[in-house]
Amino acid sequence: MLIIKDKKIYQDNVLLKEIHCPKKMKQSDLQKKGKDFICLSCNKRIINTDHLAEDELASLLQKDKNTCLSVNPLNPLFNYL
Amino acid sequence: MSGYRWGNKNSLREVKTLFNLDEINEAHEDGNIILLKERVPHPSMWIDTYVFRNRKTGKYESETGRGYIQQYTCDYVVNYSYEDWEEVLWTKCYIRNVDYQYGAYVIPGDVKVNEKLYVENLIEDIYLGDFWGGRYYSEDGDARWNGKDLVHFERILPFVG
Repeated sequence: MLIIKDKKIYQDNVLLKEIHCPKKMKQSDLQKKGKDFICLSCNKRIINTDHLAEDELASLLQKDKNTCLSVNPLNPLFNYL
Repeated sequence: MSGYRWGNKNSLREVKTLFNLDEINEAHEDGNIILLKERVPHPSMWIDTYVFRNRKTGKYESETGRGYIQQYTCDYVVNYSYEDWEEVLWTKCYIRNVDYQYGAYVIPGDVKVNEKLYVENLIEDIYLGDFWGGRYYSEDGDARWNGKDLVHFERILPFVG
Protein backbone atom coordinates (compact mmCIF):
# COMPACT_ATOMS: atom_id res chain seq x y z
CA MET A 1 0.00 0.00 0.00
CA LEU A 2 1.29 3.41 -0.97
CA ILE A 3 0.53 6.23 1.41
CA ILE A 4 -0.09 9.80 0.30
CA LYS A 5 0.32 12.39 3.01
CA ASP A 6 0.72 16.12 2.38
CA LYS A 7 1.14 15.33 -1.33
CA LYS A 8 4.07 13.01 -0.65
CA ILE A 9 4.02 9.36 -1.70
CA TYR A 10 5.50 6.83 0.74
CA GLN A 11 6.05 3.10 0.53
CA ASP A 12 6.94 1.33 3.79
CA ASN A 13 7.68 4.75 5.36
CA VAL A 14 10.17 5.56 2.60
CA LEU A 15 9.50 8.77 0.70
CA LEU A 16 9.19 7.96 -3.00
CA LYS A 17 8.14 11.32 -4.34
CA GLU A 18 6.71 14.69 -3.53
CA ILE A 19 3.90 15.57 -5.89
CA HIS A 20 4.53 19.13 -6.85
CA CYS A 21 4.05 21.02 -10.07
CA PRO A 22 5.73 24.44 -10.21
CA LYS A 23 3.28 25.44 -12.94
CA LYS A 24 0.30 24.22 -10.92
CA MET A 25 -1.04 22.17 -13.80
CA LYS A 26 -4.27 20.25 -13.34
CA GLN A 27 -5.31 17.05 -15.04
CA SER A 28 -7.78 19.08 -17.12
CA ASP A 29 -4.81 21.09 -18.49
CA LEU A 30 -3.13 17.97 -19.87
CA GLN A 31 -3.48 16.36 -23.26
CA LYS A 32 -4.27 12.66 -23.26
CA LYS A 33 -1.76 10.51 -25.11
CA GLY A 34 -2.45 6.80 -24.99
CA LYS A 35 -2.77 5.82 -21.33
CA ASP A 36 -0.76 8.82 -20.17
CA PHE A 37 -0.80 12.58 -20.64
CA ILE A 38 1.38 15.26 -22.17
CA CYS A 39 1.95 18.47 -20.26
CA LEU A 40 1.20 21.32 -22.65
CA SER A 41 3.41 23.65 -20.64
CA CYS A 42 6.61 21.53 -20.34
CA ASN A 43 5.91 19.06 -23.15
CA LYS A 44 6.80 16.29 -20.68
CA ARG A 45 5.08 12.95 -20.39
CA ILE A 46 2.86 12.65 -17.30
CA ILE A 47 2.44 9.07 -16.15
CA ASN A 48 -1.16 8.19 -15.39
CA THR A 49 -0.96 6.12 -12.21
CA ASP A 50 -4.47 4.73 -12.84
CA HIS A 51 -2.76 2.18 -15.07
CA LEU A 52 0.08 1.13 -12.77
CA ALA A 53 0.43 -1.52 -10.11
CA GLU A 54 2.17 -0.58 -6.87
CA ASP A 55 5.48 -2.24 -7.74
CA GLU A 56 5.55 -0.65 -11.18
CA LEU A 57 5.04 2.80 -9.73
CA ALA A 58 7.56 2.29 -6.91
CA SER A 59 10.16 1.02 -9.35
CA LEU A 60 9.54 3.98 -11.67
CA LEU A 61 10.01 6.48 -8.85
CA GLN A 62 13.07 4.74 -7.45
CA LYS A 63 14.69 5.21 -10.84
CA ASP A 64 13.62 8.83 -11.20
CA LYS A 65 11.93 10.86 -8.48
CA ASN A 66 11.31 13.65 -10.94
CA THR A 67 8.91 11.56 -13.00
CA CYS A 68 5.71 13.56 -13.35
CA LEU A 69 2.56 11.78 -12.26
CA SER A 70 -1.17 12.15 -12.41
CA VAL A 71 -2.65 10.73 -9.20
CA ASN A 72 -6.29 10.02 -8.48
CA PRO A 73 -6.62 9.73 -4.69
CA LEU A 74 -9.66 7.47 -5.20
CA ASN A 75 -7.33 4.84 -6.66
CA PRO A 76 -7.29 2.01 -4.08
CA LEU A 77 -3.55 1.74 -4.71
CA PHE A 78 -3.18 4.73 -2.40
CA ASN A 79 -4.09 5.29 1.20
CA TYR A 80 -4.75 9.00 1.18
CA LEU A 81 -4.19 10.54 4.64
CA MET B 1 -20.38 2.84 -6.35
CA SER B 2 -19.48 3.60 -2.84
CA GLY B 3 -19.10 5.93 0.03
CA TYR B 4 -15.64 7.13 0.93
CA ARG B 5 -14.78 7.44 4.61
CA TRP B 6 -11.94 9.77 5.59
CA GLY B 7 -11.95 9.18 9.34
CA ASN B 8 -11.04 11.73 11.98
CA LYS B 9 -7.36 11.72 11.08
CA ASN B 10 -6.72 15.16 12.57
CA SER B 11 -8.35 14.31 15.93
CA LEU B 12 -10.81 17.18 15.62
CA ARG B 13 -13.84 17.76 17.80
CA GLU B 14 -16.78 15.85 16.38
CA VAL B 15 -20.09 17.06 15.03
CA LYS B 16 -22.93 14.61 15.61
CA THR B 17 -25.69 14.16 13.07
CA LEU B 18 -29.26 13.62 14.17
CA PHE B 19 -32.43 12.83 12.22
CA ASN B 20 -34.95 12.57 15.03
CA LEU B 21 -36.65 15.79 16.17
CA ASP B 22 -36.84 14.73 19.83
CA GLU B 23 -33.07 14.14 19.83
CA ILE B 24 -32.50 17.42 17.99
CA ASN B 25 -34.55 19.33 20.59
CA GLU B 26 -32.65 17.61 23.38
CA ALA B 27 -29.30 18.55 21.82
CA HIS B 28 -30.52 22.17 21.53
CA GLU B 29 -31.55 22.21 25.22
CA ASP B 30 -28.08 20.93 26.10
CA GLY B 31 -26.58 24.14 24.69
CA ASN B 32 -25.43 22.90 21.29
CA ILE B 33 -25.86 24.82 18.05
CA ILE B 34 -28.30 23.08 15.73
CA LEU B 35 -27.66 23.36 12.00
CA LEU B 36 -30.50 21.92 9.92
CA LYS B 37 -29.58 20.71 6.42
CA GLU B 38 -31.62 19.46 3.53
CA ARG B 39 -30.30 16.61 1.47
CA VAL B 40 -30.11 17.62 -2.20
CA PRO B 41 -29.32 14.92 -4.78
CA HIS B 42 -26.11 15.55 -6.72
CA PRO B 43 -26.54 15.20 -10.52
CA SER B 44 -23.31 13.18 -10.87
CA MET B 45 -24.54 10.57 -8.42
CA TRP B 46 -27.03 9.08 -10.86
CA ILE B 47 -25.75 6.08 -12.79
CA ASP B 48 -27.07 4.12 -15.72
CA THR B 49 -28.47 0.81 -14.62
CA TYR B 50 -29.54 -2.01 -16.89
CA VAL B 51 -31.45 -5.19 -16.21
CA PHE B 52 -30.48 -8.05 -18.51
CA ARG B 53 -32.27 -11.35 -19.01
CA ASN B 54 -30.39 -14.44 -20.03
CA ARG B 55 -31.79 -15.67 -23.34
CA LYS B 56 -31.42 -19.36 -22.39
CA THR B 57 -32.21 -19.53 -18.67
CA GLY B 58 -34.42 -16.44 -18.27
CA LYS B 59 -32.32 -15.32 -15.27
CA TYR B 60 -32.30 -11.54 -14.52
CA GLU B 61 -29.16 -9.65 -13.58
CA SER B 62 -28.51 -5.94 -13.09
CA GLU B 63 -25.37 -3.99 -14.06
CA THR B 64 -24.20 -0.56 -15.18
CA GLY B 65 -23.53 -1.78 -18.71
CA ARG B 66 -22.80 -4.76 -20.87
CA GLY B 67 -19.12 -4.55 -20.09
CA TYR B 68 -16.34 -2.49 -18.63
CA ILE B 69 -12.85 -1.26 -19.45
CA GLN B 70 -10.28 -3.33 -17.61
CA GLN B 71 -7.93 -1.19 -15.53
CA TYR B 72 -4.40 -2.13 -16.55
CA THR B 73 -4.94 -3.48 -20.04
CA CYS B 74 -7.65 -0.99 -21.08
CA ASP B 75 -9.37 -3.87 -22.87
CA TYR B 76 -13.15 -3.76 -23.09
CA VAL B 77 -14.46 -6.84 -21.29
CA VAL B 78 -17.99 -7.96 -22.15
CA ASN B 79 -19.95 -9.57 -19.32
CA TYR B 80 -23.40 -9.44 -20.91
CA SER B 81 -23.09 -10.19 -24.61
CA TYR B 82 -25.96 -9.47 -27.05
CA GLU B 83 -26.00 -13.17 -27.97
CA ASP B 84 -26.59 -14.35 -24.41
CA TRP B 85 -28.32 -11.44 -22.65
CA GLU B 86 -31.34 -9.38 -23.65
CA GLU B 87 -31.65 -5.85 -22.25
CA VAL B 88 -35.08 -5.62 -20.63
CA LEU B 89 -34.79 -2.37 -18.67
CA TRP B 90 -32.66 0.76 -18.66
CA THR B 91 -32.99 3.26 -15.87
CA LYS B 92 -30.92 5.47 -13.61
CA CYS B 93 -30.17 4.65 -9.99
CA TYR B 94 -28.86 6.92 -7.28
CA ILE B 95 -25.63 5.74 -5.66
CA ARG B 96 -26.36 6.90 -2.13
CA ASN B 97 -29.19 5.00 -0.57
CA VAL B 98 -30.45 6.72 2.58
CA ASP B 99 -33.95 7.17 3.96
CA TYR B 100 -33.91 10.79 5.18
CA GLN B 101 -34.50 14.10 3.43
CA TYR B 102 -33.05 16.35 6.12
CA GLY B 103 -31.05 16.14 9.30
CA ALA B 104 -29.29 18.30 11.85
CA TYR B 105 -25.67 18.81 12.69
CA VAL B 106 -25.03 19.25 16.38
CA ILE B 107 -22.25 21.80 16.76
CA PRO B 108 -20.59 22.13 20.17
CA GLY B 109 -21.97 25.27 21.83
CA ASP B 110 -18.49 26.65 22.55
CA VAL B 111 -17.30 26.32 18.93
CA LYS B 112 -15.04 29.11 17.73
CA VAL B 113 -15.31 30.82 14.36
CA ASN B 114 -12.95 29.13 11.86
CA GLU B 115 -12.55 26.07 14.09
CA LYS B 116 -12.10 22.86 12.13
CA LEU B 117 -14.48 20.07 13.09
CA TYR B 118 -15.01 16.50 12.03
CA VAL B 119 -18.45 15.48 10.71
CA GLU B 120 -18.89 11.75 11.20
CA ASN B 121 -22.07 11.40 9.15
CA LEU B 122 -22.69 13.86 6.33
CA ILE B 123 -26.26 14.84 5.54
CA GLU B 124 -25.43 16.40 2.19
CA ASP B 125 -24.57 14.39 -0.88
CA ILE B 126 -20.97 15.39 -1.57
CA TYR B 127 -19.69 13.86 -4.78
CA LEU B 128 -15.96 13.16 -4.87
CA GLY B 129 -15.31 11.84 -8.35
CA ASP B 130 -14.86 8.57 -10.13
CA PHE B 131 -12.24 5.93 -10.61
CA TRP B 132 -12.53 3.24 -13.26
CA GLY B 133 -16.28 3.40 -13.46
CA GLY B 134 -16.76 3.53 -9.70
CA ARG B 135 -18.33 6.71 -8.36
CA TYR B 136 -17.62 7.95 -4.90
CA TYR B 137 -19.23 10.29 -2.39
CA SER B 138 -18.10 11.42 1.04
CA GLU B 139 -19.64 9.75 4.06
CA ASP B 140 -17.76 11.93 6.51
CA GLY B 141 -15.20 14.72 6.45
CA ASP B 142 -13.60 17.78 7.99
CA ALA B 143 -15.39 21.10 7.91
CA ARG B 144 -14.81 24.65 9.08
CA TRP B 145 -17.33 26.55 11.20
CA ASN B 146 -17.66 30.06 9.75
CA GLY B 147 -19.99 31.29 12.46
CA LYS B 148 -23.16 30.44 10.55
CA ASP B 149 -22.50 27.31 8.58
CA LEU B 150 -20.17 24.34 8.15
CA VAL B 151 -17.91 24.65 5.13
CA HIS B 152 -16.93 21.18 4.00
CA PHE B 153 -13.43 20.57 2.72
CA GLU B 154 -13.36 18.93 -0.66
CA ARG B 155 -10.09 17.08 -0.93
CA ILE B 156 -10.44 14.68 -3.80
CA LEU B 157 -9.09 15.87 -7.11
CA PRO B 158 -6.68 14.14 -9.43
CA PHE B 159 -3.44 16.00 -8.88
CA VAL B 160 -0.40 16.39 -11.04
CA GLY B 161 3.28 16.83 -10.33
